[in-house]
Amino acid sequence: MVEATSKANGGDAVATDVAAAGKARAKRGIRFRYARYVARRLLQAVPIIVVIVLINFTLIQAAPGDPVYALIGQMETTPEYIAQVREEFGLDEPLPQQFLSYIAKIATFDLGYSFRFRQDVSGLIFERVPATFLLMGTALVISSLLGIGLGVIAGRRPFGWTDNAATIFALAGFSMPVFWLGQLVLLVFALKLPWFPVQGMVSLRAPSHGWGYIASVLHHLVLPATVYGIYHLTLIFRMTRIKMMDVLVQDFITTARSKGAGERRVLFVHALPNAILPVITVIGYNFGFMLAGSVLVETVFGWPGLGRLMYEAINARDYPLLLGLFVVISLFVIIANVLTDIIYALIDPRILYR
Amino acid sequence: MTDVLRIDDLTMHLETELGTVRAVENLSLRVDEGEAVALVGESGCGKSMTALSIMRLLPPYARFRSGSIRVAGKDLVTAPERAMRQIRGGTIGMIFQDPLTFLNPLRQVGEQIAEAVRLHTGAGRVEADAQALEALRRVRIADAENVVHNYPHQLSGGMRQRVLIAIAVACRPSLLICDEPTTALDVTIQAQIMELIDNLRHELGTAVLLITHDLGLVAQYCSRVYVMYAGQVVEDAGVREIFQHPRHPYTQALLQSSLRPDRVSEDFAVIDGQPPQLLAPPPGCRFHPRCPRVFDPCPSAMPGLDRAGEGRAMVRCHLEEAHQ
Ligand SMILES: Nc1ncnc2c1ncn2[C@@H]1O[C@H](COP(=O)(O)OP(=O)(O)OP(=O)(O)O)[C@@H](O)[C@H]1O
Ligand code: SF4
Ligand SMILES: [Mg+2]
Repeated sequence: MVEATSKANGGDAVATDVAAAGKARAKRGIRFRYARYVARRLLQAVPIIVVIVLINFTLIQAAPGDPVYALIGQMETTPEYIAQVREEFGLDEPLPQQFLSYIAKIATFDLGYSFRFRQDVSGLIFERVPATFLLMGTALVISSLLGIGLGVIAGRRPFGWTDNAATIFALAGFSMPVFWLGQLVLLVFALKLPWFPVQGMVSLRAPSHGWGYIASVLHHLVLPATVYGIYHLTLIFRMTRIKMMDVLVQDFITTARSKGAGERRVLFVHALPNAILPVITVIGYNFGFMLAGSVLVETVFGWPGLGRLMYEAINARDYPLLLGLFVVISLFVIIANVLTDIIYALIDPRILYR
Repeated sequence: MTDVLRIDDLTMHLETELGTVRAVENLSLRVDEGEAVALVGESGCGKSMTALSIMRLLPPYARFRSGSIRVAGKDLVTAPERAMRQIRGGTIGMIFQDPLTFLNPLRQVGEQIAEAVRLHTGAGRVEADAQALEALRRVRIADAENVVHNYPHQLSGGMRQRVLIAIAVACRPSLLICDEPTTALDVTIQAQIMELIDNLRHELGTAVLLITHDLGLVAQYCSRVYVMYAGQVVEDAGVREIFQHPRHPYTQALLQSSLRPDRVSEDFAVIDGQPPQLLAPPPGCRFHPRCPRVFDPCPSAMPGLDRAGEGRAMVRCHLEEAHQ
């Protein structure tokens, strides 16, 4: 049977050419649809950003008393400086005018000045971004991969012993508050067993660059990333498991098997891409919650990132810094959601045909 | 004539939480090279389970209790999984009832056909793509060059069934199992799909095992029929024989119900009485609670499947034994 097929079609160079040409054409078509989709998705983000900025603007306006204090904070300043800020933000002009100049400022990342830290707010925030992204990225990537992997294994044989073990673990991880878990982990793995550092991102004695620096950062990363990722991991695990169970009994899986696909192929080529779609959505939309969660984790572990900065800003009632953080974090969340939709479309091209 | 499929005395049970479902019992069935054979019976009698037994795509709680399924010199009941993967899609292709849900929604139809080719031949990507295109042409899809790059949601039900057929026959199997291939389609499309299957049978020399409720299709496209009732074959005969002289009381009832044009139905529910529960089938002849001709031995003794009269027909009924 098999030989007959290859003989019948093997030498058919024309058919091969036609197929290849058609494939190239189809690829261009898909690329075009994809580009159009990405463009549309980016455009949709614009009004959302405007709304965010508008909310921020409203917060300034709605602050009790003179809005200028929302921009300065509760710091002792000179009357000259107050007048300067008033002028810069056009606080004496009509509201629409003020809103426009506010947008212009934000567009150039001029987020005001923090008296608490004696530094530009934007500089202050962007200094902290890499630390948070390192921690969050590590936690997000590792816990997503682990969660998906465990979910596939568990969903393949629901209620088998691997599934039961993983499910119990997941339930435990899911129900532990981050704050409590963080302290527990610190107590055990940093204080009782001195395996990991208690606080910070890098040891003071570590070299300032090179492998020694990287090693020190990684060493510091282990505990906070674990604590940070565990909730996410259990969430991803549970979703992947359920979706795999769902997909594996669907009809097209039977088709895959009936054409001779082996178990691994069925799992990873046919089932997983279908099961993972809602999981991707959750990972992306979870990004915002994780950023919010960074306040807890970074405070517990003394990690010098955005969350810690937010905590400090709240403590110091540093309004300019808080407002700046609000804008920047909102932007990150929007970007994450757009990226999620773009990745989703890579796996599910049906979206491109709407 | 050599056979491409020979099932002997197959018994397959489903060990469910509710108990043992006797889905297939002492079933024997043969399909010869290039032949079209029908397997008919009312809903739940075990037709699909028979087909899935052949492909060994049964649920994990299914158990073969006895018998053999011989294909290409192998017994599929005991063949290792690796050998089964070569049989599936290679020696035997299968298509199913609902074309809407049997294609992977995330992959182009060409890829899905090429996958079958690549799994069974040494073909590379380019070569497999060309063969996928060729397979789509073989199932008479106009504009195949473009359709290969479509996603399932862009195609109509009839088109999708053609794609599924293309996948099933991409490697020129010697047997094509069709489990109610047209039930989910509307009438005009049904006829086209059946014509296509029949044409492919002639072109490729692929034998067809057609599972259906529709005796009209059987009369038109098949040469032999197996009538199944409650997990068993109750009659096995040539098409002409079965339509002219149905011997088993169940076959007779089937034919009568299908002759009533007012009640042409998806199903044979038009026969009086409840279809049997395969969890706890009735003792003796499985048909006896509904049989109009039931007599003394029926409720207690299970009739064997024996040759009836002068013809080739095999019938499972005490009446036949009484004749001899
Ligand atoms: N997954 C399953 N688990 C348990 N029992 C099942 C399962 N699938 C089918 N059965 C039972 O096995 C018996 C045979 O079912 P099967 O699907 O083979 O019937 P069928 O003849 O194909 O019916 P239909 O014409 O409705 O497709 C039925 O009694 C059914 O209830
Ligand atoms: S064996 Fe008896 S009950 Fe069964 S079909 Fe024949 S006559 Fe009817
Ligand atoms: Mg069925």
